[in-house]
Amino acid sequence: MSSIEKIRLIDRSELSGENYFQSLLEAAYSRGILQAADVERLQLECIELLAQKIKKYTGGESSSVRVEVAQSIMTSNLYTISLFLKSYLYPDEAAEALKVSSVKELYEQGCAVIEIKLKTAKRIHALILQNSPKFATRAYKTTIVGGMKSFFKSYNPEYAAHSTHISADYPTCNPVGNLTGVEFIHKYLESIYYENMFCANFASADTHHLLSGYDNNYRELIFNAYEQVITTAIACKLARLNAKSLNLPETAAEDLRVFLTAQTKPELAAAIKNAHDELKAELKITNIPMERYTDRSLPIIADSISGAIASKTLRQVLITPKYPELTPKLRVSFGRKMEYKQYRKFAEEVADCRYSSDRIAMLRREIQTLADLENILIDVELSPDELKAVLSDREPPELAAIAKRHLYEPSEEDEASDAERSFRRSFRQYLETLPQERQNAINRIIPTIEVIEERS
Amino acid sequence: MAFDLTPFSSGMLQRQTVDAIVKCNDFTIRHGLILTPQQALELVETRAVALSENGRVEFGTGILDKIIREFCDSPYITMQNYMETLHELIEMFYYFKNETQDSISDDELIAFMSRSFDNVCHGSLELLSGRELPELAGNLRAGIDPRSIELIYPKDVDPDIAPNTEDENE
Repeated sequence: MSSIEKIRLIDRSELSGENYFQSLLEAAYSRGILQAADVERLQLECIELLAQKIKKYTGGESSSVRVEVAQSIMTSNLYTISLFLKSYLYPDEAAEALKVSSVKELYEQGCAVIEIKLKTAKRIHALILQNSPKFATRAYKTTIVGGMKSFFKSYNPEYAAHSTHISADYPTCNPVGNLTGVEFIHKYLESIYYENMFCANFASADTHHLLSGYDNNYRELIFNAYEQVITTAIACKLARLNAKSLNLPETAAEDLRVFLTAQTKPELAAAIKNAHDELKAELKITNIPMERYTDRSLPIIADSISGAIASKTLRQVLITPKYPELTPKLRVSFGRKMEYKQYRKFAEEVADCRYSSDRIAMLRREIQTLADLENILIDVELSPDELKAVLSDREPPELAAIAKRHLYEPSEEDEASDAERSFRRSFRQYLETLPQERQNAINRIIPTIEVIEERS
Repeated sequence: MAFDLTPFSSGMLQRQTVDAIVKCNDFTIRHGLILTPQQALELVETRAVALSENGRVEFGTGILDKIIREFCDSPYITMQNYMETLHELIEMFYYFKNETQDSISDDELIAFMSRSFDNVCHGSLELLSGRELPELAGNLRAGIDPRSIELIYPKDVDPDIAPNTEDENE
């Protein structure tokens, strides 16, 4: 006998992720699960709960608050209740709970859910930090390390449970949309955890080479590394290659481009799914939640490939690895710095110079090393014309070395002074005024530059 | 489904507030001041307008009965100007609650208003709203501790005891 499933009146997909309680109330009322009296009771109880929370918020010292404060606390209360209601498997059951429970009871249950989610999120965060990928980008570090710590420190479930506080700049492959507060952070960290777990199937060096193929300067870009890794791994399987080394040679990539371009959308989706199954077998993936995560990535990868076929940009999706360590390095020495007293005297003279032409002549005459040039450009603010005159006879590698240090690779905890920031702005503006050919030459050199410092 | 933040649209809560105001008559009658239920309702309506104009919401019976109890023994208030004064005080209260950035409690603000009105303003609402309260707001925004302001905490009052109109009057 076939199983009989109960008819459900409310479809979860029609409910809002962010305003779950309100949308459930509306759906339950329109389907007749709740009556007008039930809705009125719930609304009145929400106001009572708000009044209690505001009394606590003001320490009983003020009977009124600004509308924005009340609105924020109300949103927080409704969010907390929504979290509890979402824990029901079916919305119909949650609607029944609305009928028999008081708002206060629902809110208390919601608080318990928040506590559990917060604890779990902290645990996942700790696990992620323990196994940080070696190819982590700047955006990854800023979001996962700094951003999350700041969230856990400032999250206020009592009055702002719905607030996320931070912007998750590092994107996940499978979007974590329509969620806020601890629910968003929990889901976001879970996604990062599965992405890292998948990437851990590959050697860090191979992933680094693959991402270098995506862009030489990939650590400074905001993009999802896992998406590049899984796409390449699937591409390897489509090309009948071993995926483990993430190495899709140019010839194989070319054949694959021809093959993929000839596929219809359903054929493409089926091919990607088969390749994914083969990939799971090759990598011996047995972790079911991670498998579900990668499954959900497949339509995104298929869309990305379809889009690239349509825009004839498949080369940007099917990446071949690059080996930056094999690229010849151009070593640029910043040279010796002037003796401190001598430098101070010189800097004062330059700053006090009455005429621009004298200042330019003095800088050209006296500055012998890149180290001194760098110092004086930071310490003495030059006009755009003066900067142009001073830098006009400098070779592209010299400009590239300054650009690398100040515009591309400022230190991780970069605490640039106002003078440094001002110099960086002026220098960037100067570079933008250069002829395109000279700009291209500098940009080509920057990744190959290795700066050598000498002691003064 | 909207969740209205204006609880006083509910008739029941409005009635509760009117009752609380009328109940103050038991206390104010000894100063020759009395309000009819209709007048109490008008005060509640003034409050609703003042709250809305100042972007605030209030729960419970609010500060109306506190203002009545604090001001009823003023030598400058008689039955002739009682209602008009209360309307103006209510409007003033919410406006300066914002101006003081919620840095002092309801009781502290009402105590300051009452003492200023009876002393330095000599019963002038214009001086209260145009001079004393803006100066208080400026001082508080500049970071001055309310406990050092004598019109909130007179020297003979222990600053650890918050102003409480009911205790003082009863």
